[in-house]
Amino acid sequence: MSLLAARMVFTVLDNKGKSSKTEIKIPISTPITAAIAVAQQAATLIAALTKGRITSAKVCFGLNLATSAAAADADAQEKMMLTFRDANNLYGKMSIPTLDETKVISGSDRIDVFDADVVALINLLVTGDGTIAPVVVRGGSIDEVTQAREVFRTTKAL
Amino acid sequence: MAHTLEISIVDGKNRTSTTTVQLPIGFTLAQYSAYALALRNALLNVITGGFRGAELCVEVDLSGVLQVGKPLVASDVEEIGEFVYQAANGLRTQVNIPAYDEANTALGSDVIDDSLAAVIAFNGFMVNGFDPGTGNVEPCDIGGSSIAALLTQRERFRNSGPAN
Repeated sequence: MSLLAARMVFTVLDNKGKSSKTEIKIPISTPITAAIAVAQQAATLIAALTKGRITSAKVCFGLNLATSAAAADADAQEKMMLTFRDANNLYGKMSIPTLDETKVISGSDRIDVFDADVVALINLLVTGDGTIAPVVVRGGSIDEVTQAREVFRTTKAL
Repeated sequence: MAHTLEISIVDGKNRTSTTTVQLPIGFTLAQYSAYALALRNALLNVITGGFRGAELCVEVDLSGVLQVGKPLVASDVEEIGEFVYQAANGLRTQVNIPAYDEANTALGSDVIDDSLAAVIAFNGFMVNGFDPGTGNVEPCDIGGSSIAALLTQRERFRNSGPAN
């Protein structure tokens, strides 16, 4: 991930059902609407050079945020699974790796939704930061978090 | 439609995993970045992993831009059009186009035919950029240095593993 260039990523499908991606970078200062138009132009030019089909395109902007270190016992396989609902009862979910087990109610797999840190996270997801509030994938605002629990998911062996 | 905020988290074994959240469209990158910072800080209070980075990914609508339909017969993502450019800082950067159309390759060689309109148009875009109506946007290398010149262009083959 670069903080100096945004990535235009194009996925190409071939006749054997295999997909491959190609990237072209543009300056990170490019406004989002301009980047979309540039990616559309690039897609037409790539399409003229390939026998495959471009099945999707996206532009990814790296965000300049401070990194931090992991605790020695942090494990990406241990996750907090949050399930959301919007006003139309459409659902979304968020899977958060390296869950801190102290946020789980003892003797259960339920997240303690009265823990101050969990409350703060849920508020940020439901009501946002005062400017932006998350949505489910179809674009409806999140009305509530319907479920919060600890789950384990296998990742690749080290 | 929504944008996707992808947050990378590293664990104590140096494995990286991502979590995503959908954000509404219509805001500036600075506003998305401010939300990402707030979310980063809230997440770090409920996880034991470290924060590795975040990207805002914007889906591009290709309907009306490209024809839909099946890939052409004999298309193969292992066949690549390799375009190597030099950025203004002197460093090289490369674009690999999968399922490259051999009709754009000079007969009897692996050199891409730079007299063809599609090749000229692509290289023109890469070197000179494109103005979507709000100012010219020039492709660049990973460090943000504008692409200045085409160095080489040729057909190559890369292993991608077995088809399903």
